[in-house]
Amino acid sequence: MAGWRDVLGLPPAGPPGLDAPSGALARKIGLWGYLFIAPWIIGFLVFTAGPMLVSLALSFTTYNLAEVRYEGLHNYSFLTLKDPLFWKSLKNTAVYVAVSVPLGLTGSLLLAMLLNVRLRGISILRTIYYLPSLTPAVASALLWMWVFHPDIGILNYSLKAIGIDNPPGWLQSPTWAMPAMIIMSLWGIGGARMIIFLAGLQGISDHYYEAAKIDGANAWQRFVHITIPLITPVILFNLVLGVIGAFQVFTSAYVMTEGGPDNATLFYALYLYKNAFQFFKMGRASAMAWILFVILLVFTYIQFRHSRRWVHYEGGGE
Amino acid sequence: MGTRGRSKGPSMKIWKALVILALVAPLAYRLSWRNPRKVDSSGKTIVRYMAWGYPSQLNTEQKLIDAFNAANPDLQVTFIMAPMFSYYDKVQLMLATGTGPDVLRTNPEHFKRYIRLGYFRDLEPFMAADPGYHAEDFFKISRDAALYNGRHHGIGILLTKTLIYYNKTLFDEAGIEDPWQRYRKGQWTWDDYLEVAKLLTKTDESGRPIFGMSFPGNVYQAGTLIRAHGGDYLSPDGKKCLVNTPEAVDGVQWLKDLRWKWHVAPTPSQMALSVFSFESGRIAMELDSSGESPRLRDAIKDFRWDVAPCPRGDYDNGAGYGSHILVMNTGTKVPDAAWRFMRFMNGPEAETLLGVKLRRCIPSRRALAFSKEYLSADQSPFNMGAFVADIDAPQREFPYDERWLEWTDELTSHLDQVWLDLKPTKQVLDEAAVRVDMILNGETD
Repeated sequence: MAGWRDVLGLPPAGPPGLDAPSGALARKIGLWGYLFIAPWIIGFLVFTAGPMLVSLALSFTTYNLAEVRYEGLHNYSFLTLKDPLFWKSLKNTAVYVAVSVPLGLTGSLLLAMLLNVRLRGISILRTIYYLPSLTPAVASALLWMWVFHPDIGILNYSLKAIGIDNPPGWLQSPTWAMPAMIIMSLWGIGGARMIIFLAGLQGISDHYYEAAKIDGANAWQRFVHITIPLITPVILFNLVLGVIGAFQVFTSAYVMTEGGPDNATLFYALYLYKNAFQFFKMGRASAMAWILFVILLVFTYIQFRHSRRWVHYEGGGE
Repeated sequence: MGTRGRSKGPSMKIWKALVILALVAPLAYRLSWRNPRKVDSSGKTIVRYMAWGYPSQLNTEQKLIDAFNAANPDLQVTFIMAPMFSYYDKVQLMLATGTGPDVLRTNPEHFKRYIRLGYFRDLEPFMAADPGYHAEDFFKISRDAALYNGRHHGIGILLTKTLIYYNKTLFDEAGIEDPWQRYRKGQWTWDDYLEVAKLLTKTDESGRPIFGMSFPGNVYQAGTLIRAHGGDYLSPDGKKCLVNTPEAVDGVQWLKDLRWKWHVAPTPSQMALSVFSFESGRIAMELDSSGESPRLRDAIKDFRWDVAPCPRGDYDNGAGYGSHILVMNTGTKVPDAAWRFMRFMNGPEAETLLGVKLRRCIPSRRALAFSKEYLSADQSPFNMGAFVADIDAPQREFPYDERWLEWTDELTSHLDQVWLDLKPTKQVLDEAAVRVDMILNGETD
């Protein structure tokens, strides 16, 4: 099992007494270490762990900002057994995750590969492709509302130009509102995910490609047998973060559709928000947050568990 | 091993110290937390006021606050403006955390439920102790808007009315008598409204449509039409949903037909992003609040427009008045100063600026509303009589109970199915009634 020295790339420790600090020195080093990380630990305990525990407690109550009443598992049983919108919002979100995450990962990887070339001015191109992800989420949502406008939007204008006479109503159609949300999610393919893919691609030594070329491998074979296996840790990282982020999708629906039409874009986080801030059902919203937390925990666990079969670490580490 | 054993002692101590610090820090922070200051550096009492609105309205309110501050050297009112989009999120968090403004403006949808949460003060003692406050100066509809269990928990402010905005240029071009003239002749019913809309719906030279009306599909507009057909949303005791009664179904079907049978209103696709808004000039009539007047005056330059009262239904007089409410935070430390400011915002000077000059609203003071200055306009809208027509007629407020936002949210998603022509109206409203009844009976709590 790799120790901390291996992780830091340090040589093996010498005999005890010569290498490891002990006594007062060890205490002093420990104290300084904890002092340095204290701001983060305190911040985490106060602003993350504390509120999480409070929300867990609230999930067993009815809390309308004025009165708290203990209700046991009522919120959980109501959501799962009696609330059709809970299941509707979960289904909508699952569809969004299932389609937008693979599409987004593929798009980001392809973009990263296009930008992973030695060209004059490539840095400028990389910056240009990164720019959309800097647009505030609300601003880009407003922009996309115009793109999706059924009558005067550029999307339907283009579709009509290529002969589709009756293009979709997009955000005004219960059938097409979800595809519109997924299309809009691709706006972010040039963001942090692409940068991480790019870093992963640049970490692959040219020697592998040169050796493969000498052995007669074509571009596709080099991509499938060298590029993909060597960036699987990066793919796993982006996949885990992508799934977590997609399950929490909120802004686009909040700004563009408010969950409509006919609840077609009622995402889980939006329904949670409505329970908390429109209906003052803080206990119900807390229960929803914890259900989402468990769902994400299970998904992440499955992804890590399954990753042993397809993620390859150079040097065999995990 | 020995090293690890030796270092465990201080580590545990430090961990304990960090955990204790983390637990104590929020408490210390809360104890050190000062509520918003009551007095500024020059010794003036600070009153914090919060409201939302269009820029022209907020600018006017800021001018009023400046005038108030100048006339009251012992007070300093600070104005917290928030966009409507996030106004109640902000209000709710501020009130819940004890940092709420001393005075704020709210709308009827939120008024009663905030009172139930204990956030707004009963103002009866202030009214009784103030010799300058005379309830009879104000319209009953304005006073009643601020009542809760028979006691005033606020002051009616920005009295508004649902009106028909109409494109006078389109009416004149078509040679059709306009809604104001029809109203004055007593020929202004919902059937008249539909017939006029049919006459005005056409395609222009560029091949683009002009519609007789915008689609009145929100819960307020749908409620108006349901009432006009003799129905209502809820039973009088507020415990039973009535949207699937024959009268209510007729009202909703009438609305749906505007779009899908008579084609006098734009489809959902056409309505997106207000491409067919009233100010675009491609809508002949629109049902909306009188509060839209200043915004439309700024936005419309290419055609003439004016207003008329809502059409009458067989069962409804179409009066359609409503009011914002100025309330005092229960937690204010400066209630007397807050009351002085509230009285000013509801006083003749403020109502003259916001009502008579800006025409954002109808003055809640009878004397101002019927004044010559208010009723004679030199810019659109000119038919100021429409603002005060039926103002003393009996009013039916929508049932703004504490579950209003929840059951109207449920109803809205069902009405979507009707407006999009996805299912038969009766079927949708039957399903909606079941869900709304569950909410009203507390089964969704």
